[in-house]
Amino acid sequence: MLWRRALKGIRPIDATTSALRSRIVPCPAPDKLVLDLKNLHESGELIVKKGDPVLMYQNLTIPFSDAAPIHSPTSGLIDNICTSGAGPSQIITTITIASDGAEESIELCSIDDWRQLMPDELLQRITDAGIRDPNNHLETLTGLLSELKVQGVQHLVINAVETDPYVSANTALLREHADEVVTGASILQQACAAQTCSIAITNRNSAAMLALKKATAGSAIRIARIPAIYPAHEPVVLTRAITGTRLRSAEDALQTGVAILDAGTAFATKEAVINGIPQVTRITTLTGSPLRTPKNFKVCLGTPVEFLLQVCGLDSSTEHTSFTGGAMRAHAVDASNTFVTWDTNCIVCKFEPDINPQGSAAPCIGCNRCSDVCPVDLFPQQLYRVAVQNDIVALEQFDLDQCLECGACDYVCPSRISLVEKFQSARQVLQKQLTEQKLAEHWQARMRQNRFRLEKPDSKVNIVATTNQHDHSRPNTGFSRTTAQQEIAAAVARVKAKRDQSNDTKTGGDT
Amino acid sequence: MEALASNPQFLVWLSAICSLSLLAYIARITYGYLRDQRRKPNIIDSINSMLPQTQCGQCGHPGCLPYAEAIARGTPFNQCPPGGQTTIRRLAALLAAQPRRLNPAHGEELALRVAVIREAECIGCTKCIQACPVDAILGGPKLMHTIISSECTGCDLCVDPCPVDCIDMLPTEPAHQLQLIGLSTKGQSLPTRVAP
Repeated sequence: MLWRRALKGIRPIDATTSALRSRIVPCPAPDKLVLDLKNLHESGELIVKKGDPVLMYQNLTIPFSDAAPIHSPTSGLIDNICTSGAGPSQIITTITIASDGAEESIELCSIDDWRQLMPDELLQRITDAGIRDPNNHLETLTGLLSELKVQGVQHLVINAVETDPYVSANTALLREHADEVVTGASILQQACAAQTCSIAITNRNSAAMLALKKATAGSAIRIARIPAIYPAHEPVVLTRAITGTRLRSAEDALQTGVAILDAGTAFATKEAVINGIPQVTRITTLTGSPLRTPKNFKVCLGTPVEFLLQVCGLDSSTEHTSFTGGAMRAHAVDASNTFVTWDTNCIVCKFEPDINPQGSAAPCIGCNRCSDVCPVDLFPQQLYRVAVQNDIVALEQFDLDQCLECGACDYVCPSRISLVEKFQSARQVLQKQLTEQKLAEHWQARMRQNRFRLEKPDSKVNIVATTNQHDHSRPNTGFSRTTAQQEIAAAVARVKAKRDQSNDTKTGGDT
Repeated sequence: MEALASNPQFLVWLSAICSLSLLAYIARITYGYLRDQRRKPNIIDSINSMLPQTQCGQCGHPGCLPYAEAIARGTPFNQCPPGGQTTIRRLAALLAAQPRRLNPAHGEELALRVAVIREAECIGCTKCIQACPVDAILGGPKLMHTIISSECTGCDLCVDPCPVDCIDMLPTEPAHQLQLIGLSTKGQSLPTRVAP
């Protein structure tokens, strides 16, 4: 097929086999769950306080308009609620729940046939479940579905391609819950009124593929086989693989009539619409050589990473580090202080000696391997050169904004240059400069309006014309505390002198 | 040939063609020159676009545009504390000069701040309103004033005139300010490069 030639990327070794040996295991509830919620005040109002008892699936917030509510993942007591701010635009609310182990849930309202639901009812059930899609961080799923319906999306793609060579969460999900995912996909298709729907899956997931084939037999949902390359999971690359269209950014996908949602979202939608269960769990892969039994867990949101590692039989005799996000886009985390959130799909643990020492990067030899693997056809070595020089205009000319930061160029670089790191910092510089420039433009416009107001002939405060010969200069009010005080002191002295003088003349006149 | 050369009509035609082509040539040159002049960005505008536009006057000039004009006349370009070292570097590149350190006599480089009025203490004297270069203060005589924080440039000019010292300068983030204004940097492109 054509797209086989068009797709570029790397084929790293498959590291999923060890985790796929076992089935998805529901993780036992830990003693304490910690929910880190960003900017909660914008989406809803907290309705629980410290010390309140909560039941499983109970609402913790009343959401504003159609924002997603937050649910309690287990039953127990609210142990603590604290707020911390990382800046005026980011406030993090931390809710700690002490679990009582009973897992007593609120009454759930399940339905038999979702096809008989009205469209509004369907959307309401999805909204109430608080489902979030990892591909669309900003929007709620309901908002996204309504927008898709308005824009007239043609093709809905359920993305079951793994995000990393270490991750097997989607494969495990499809292997065991293919029917549910397919049902969820049909619900989503109806909710966004897409004409066709397909489930994108990697070519090599044979067990998952078999299960999916069985589940989709007789339904209108098709299977899209994607070659097993990294990063085929990226919306931009996936859209290209399916439709052959090159996109500049993931936001443009809608213009080609393609919408991409995650397989986990489809599963959660099925659970929410049919069983009425809100999204309080997710499937997370735990893998890495220090773990004796790597597996896929169905974990409650807010579970501490350390607890999960212990359950997996962590060999703590040797130094080890945990990463979220897999191997290609690893973020080292402090296991005791990190908790599962709705976009944690993988935790990789590695022995200290196994972690690639970044070492000293050798100079670029211009081998062009990075350009060969770049999935969005950039020229990483050229970008790197201009990023080192901090040439902002050139960075934009070479389309830095299209970079997915997938790390494919890092992976193949024979000189071990950390290209992605450089691109990330260059992006920040670019962003900062754009922000400052926009602010400057706004302020300049404000200053011009101020000037215009002061220079108007009928202006009551026509100071500029009288005090300043400069056209652009601001009115010099000439105010400063010291001069004012001096003036007052001088005036007081003058009055005193005058009074003394008059007294003198008076007394002089008398005598 | 001689016959041709002695033909007065031929000479007339020849001179006409020569003069016309000369005229066309001159017109083309003039047009190109004028076009280049129009296209060439004004040096003052280029300098002004690199200044942070806080209108704070810390450089000793009453605003960013007057300082840009002063730089074009030869005033040192290291007198802008809000712009800091970044602005100095960019100006140095534009003016093909050696970058210098920020002149400490004009103040030190600080992160972006916004003014906030402690409203309970405000006596409504309108002095800060007159001092504000971007009309970011709202209020009337003997009525409480407040600062429209989305418009504040953090220029400090309102702090000095306040007779009761009820204005605080609080730190903020440029991105947050931009959000308040309702602008976003997404999808915006940088201006084209200006040749020095």
